[in-house]
Amino acid sequence: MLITRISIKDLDWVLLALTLSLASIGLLAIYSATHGKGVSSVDVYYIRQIWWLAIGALFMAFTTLVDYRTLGRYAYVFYGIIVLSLAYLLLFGKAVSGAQRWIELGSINFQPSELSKVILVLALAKCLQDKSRGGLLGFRSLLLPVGLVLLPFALVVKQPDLGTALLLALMAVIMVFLCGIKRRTLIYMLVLALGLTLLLWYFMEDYQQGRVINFLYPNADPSGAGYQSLQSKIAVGSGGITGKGIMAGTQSGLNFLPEKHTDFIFAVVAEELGFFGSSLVLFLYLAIIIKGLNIAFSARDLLGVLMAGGVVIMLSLHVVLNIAMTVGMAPVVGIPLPLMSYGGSSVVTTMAGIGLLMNVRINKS
Amino acid sequence: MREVSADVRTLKRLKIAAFMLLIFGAVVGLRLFQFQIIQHDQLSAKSEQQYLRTLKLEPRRGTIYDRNGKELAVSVSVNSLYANPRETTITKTSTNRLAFILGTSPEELAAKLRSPKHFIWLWRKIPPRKAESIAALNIKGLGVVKENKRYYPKRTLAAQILGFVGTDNEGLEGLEYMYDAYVGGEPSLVLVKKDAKGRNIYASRRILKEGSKGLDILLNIDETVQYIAEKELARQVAESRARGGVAIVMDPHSGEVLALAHQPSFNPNSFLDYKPARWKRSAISDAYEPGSTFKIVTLAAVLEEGLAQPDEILYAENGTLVVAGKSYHDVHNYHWLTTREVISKSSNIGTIKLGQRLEPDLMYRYIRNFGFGSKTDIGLPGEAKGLVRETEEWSGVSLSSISIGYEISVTPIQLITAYAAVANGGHLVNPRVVRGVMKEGRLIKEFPGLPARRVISDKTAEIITSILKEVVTVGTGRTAAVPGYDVAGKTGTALKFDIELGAYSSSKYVASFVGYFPADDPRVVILVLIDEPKGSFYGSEVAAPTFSRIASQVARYMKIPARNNLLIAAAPDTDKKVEGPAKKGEEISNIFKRIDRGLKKLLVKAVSPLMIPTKGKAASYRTNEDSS
Repeated sequence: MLITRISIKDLDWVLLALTLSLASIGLLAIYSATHGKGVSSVDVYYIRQIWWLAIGALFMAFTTLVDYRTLGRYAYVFYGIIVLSLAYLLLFGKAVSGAQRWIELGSINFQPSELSKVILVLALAKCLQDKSRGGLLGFRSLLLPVGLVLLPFALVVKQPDLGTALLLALMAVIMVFLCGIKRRTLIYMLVLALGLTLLLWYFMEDYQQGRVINFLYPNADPSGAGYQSLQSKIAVGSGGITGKGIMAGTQSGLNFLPEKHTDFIFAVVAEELGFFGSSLVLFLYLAIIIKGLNIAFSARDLLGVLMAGGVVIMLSLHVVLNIAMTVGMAPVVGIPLPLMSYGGSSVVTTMAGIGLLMNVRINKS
Repeated sequence: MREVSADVRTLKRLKIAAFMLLIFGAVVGLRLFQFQIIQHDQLSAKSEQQYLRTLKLEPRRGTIYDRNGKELAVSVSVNSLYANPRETTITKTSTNRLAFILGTSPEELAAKLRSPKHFIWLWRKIPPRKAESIAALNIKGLGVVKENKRYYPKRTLAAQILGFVGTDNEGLEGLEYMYDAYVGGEPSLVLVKKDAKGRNIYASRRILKEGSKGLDILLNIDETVQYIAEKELARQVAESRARGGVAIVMDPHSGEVLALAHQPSFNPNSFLDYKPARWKRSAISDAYEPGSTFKIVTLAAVLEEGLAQPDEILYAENGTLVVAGKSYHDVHNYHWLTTREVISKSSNIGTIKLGQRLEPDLMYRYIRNFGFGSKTDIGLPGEAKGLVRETEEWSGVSLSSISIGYEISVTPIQLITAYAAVANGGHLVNPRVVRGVMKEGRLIKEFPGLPARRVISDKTAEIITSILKEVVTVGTGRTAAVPGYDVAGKTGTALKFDIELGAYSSSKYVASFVGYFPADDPRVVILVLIDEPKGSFYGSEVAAPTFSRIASQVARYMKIPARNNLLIAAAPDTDKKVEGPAKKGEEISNIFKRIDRGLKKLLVKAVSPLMIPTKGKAASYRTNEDSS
């Protein structure tokens, strides 16, 4: 069976409502953050975001309606496509502000590295399900999963997009952890990881090293690398309990806060809607994650558990890291806030992930 | 049914992973609490510091009016040109054209426009026509703001009195400085938001403090009288190739100063083009040894004290008097003179003999009573007191020297105020340049000045006036005569004390004339002082004719009734008459005068080694009075 026959009541309406709520708050924040001076056309960003949400809905329909076991079967195909497009990007891509991240499809720019996140969840779930039949994962059974991660990881690091690459790695580590590893293998892996980290540091670009240093000492250079962090902190803090009001944010509206409509959209919400607004957003995310966990717990098989669990991990890592970045607890790496940050690839990826959650729920028995 | 044992342990691990992420999420949430609630005030302040800017909007200065409401200093709205170098796109041709208009070099301008700043002034307060040609260049990133510019429509007129303002409209000199608190107004404080590029968002402005326009100042100065005084003074200074000059016209009864003229002058609209010395108000800030004009103080003292009678006869020692080893001379040798003649012929020896009848303390008291040695409080910055030494410091010759106007220094305004006291019947008035402060055409504050103080009796004043009339009718001041009017006055020619030499200069003089008219009902008192005239240097030749010219024009302008109801308006222009056909004759007489002067100089040089210095300072006193 390719397409699941479902009735209206099978759909998780609460999850959909939560998704829509966050997307709406995101739209409002994008509109507010870009209405001011210095933006050539006020409408551009939020109108585009609406289009992306619509495209995301199509992806979500696809990942909801095609049985996840079927998706699992084709996981390596998706994986192959995305790795090829990452490789294509590296070979033929055009650099935009020092990084080759976008594929141009007509007038649409698309970031394959974003979509690789949800596809990696699919592929790893499939692979780990195959490998863990005999219980805990040994060294040999880990070779394929590690290989599956390292390929896109290396391609994304080369772009260079350190944040996304680390996120891919982190997601993979947690998914492997879900399956369980033999103790000895774990020790080997840890030593290997440490060695790789040191090696990675050696090969890092200056700006990447700078970001790590900046993370450790965020106040070292308030005008340069730490500026973004400081501005974000000021924006969040000056919002206070009730916020300055929609369209009344000064730090975002007057352009003190760079990247406000993309990675720092949460700062806009915090500034304009205050502690109430930012708490509301956190609770909406929490609700989505709890929903996702429940789905994972009730999944019919390991594939379902790993897929739903993987999506939950992907979403919660994004939310936590993005907000940690906004409040100065994580380095400023380009990690978007799911559903809220402006950017089509992220919206499509997140919505596809939520589709997967619904898929696992629909097919739980 | 589960195909593969979805291990309970896998679910457990998922719980652990989710729990750990949740804890991290909670920490992030706490951080939000910390920033948004605990540190809110502190971060808010940081935010406001970033995006709020307090702008001070300069107020419009008040107008300065002359006594008849004519504008002497006004504020006009002009454009100021600025650039945002970050947004300026300019071609090479445009740079050249703009540099040409601004009057700078293209390289300098290009360097300015390469600055990383968001705002630089290119030209504050541009002339309107230049603003138009800059607008025509249509350069992106340039803009204009309206500012108030101080403008002095009468240019050099009364420049030293009015003073000027700086670029930010703050009073720097003169009345602009002295009355800044009134005329300056209160600036408005406006809070505006600015964006990250430092651009002001004016739409967001909130007025913190509403400012107010400056108050207007009403002067006692009369524009026309000031003009007459400046014009005649300038003419004399040019003719005498003098260093400078002062002319004051004052109402002797009220102390209102109608004109306070200085030469050379300057244009306050471009004050930086002149040396600061030009900005000086020497009429009130420079003290000098007055010489013979000071003799009326000695005269007033002896008459008032009953120590001399106007018609008593004194022996003038045939031109030379030795006091405590120091010789004093007269220009002409006299034997017997009446008190009247002592003054009208300006005899130094006669005056010294009158002065010697006074105790030094009494002389000192009269000097101080007449206002010397203290500020007149005219209401202008930089007033000098002059130098009047205490009697304990006087030497054996001091009383004699002071009685003829040496060993003492006075400002022109002090001197004219003393004459005003004689003119008005014995009251020392407070000279005033500013009448009051106006708001919307209404006088809201007046500066009435200090009350007048009687210094001599009516009768003494009357006698002195009658003597001063003789100075002009038969004495040294005949060139001060004004057709149709009785004039009272006194000439003065003083050698300047040369600080560098430490002795009296042999060639630098101050020529002066102070007088008032109509003598028996004075309407104005006028002082003319020419500093270092070249060629003719006598008060009678240099200052007195200028007095006459100023007086006759002022008389016509003020419609002062002439003697015997003579209609002055019908009289021909006195200026032209003087310059007319008589010129040739004058030239011849000037040649004789020059020969005469040369002889006198030789005499001075011959005599000066004989003069004994007093108190270590090589000082020899000599007045030169012309009685021709």
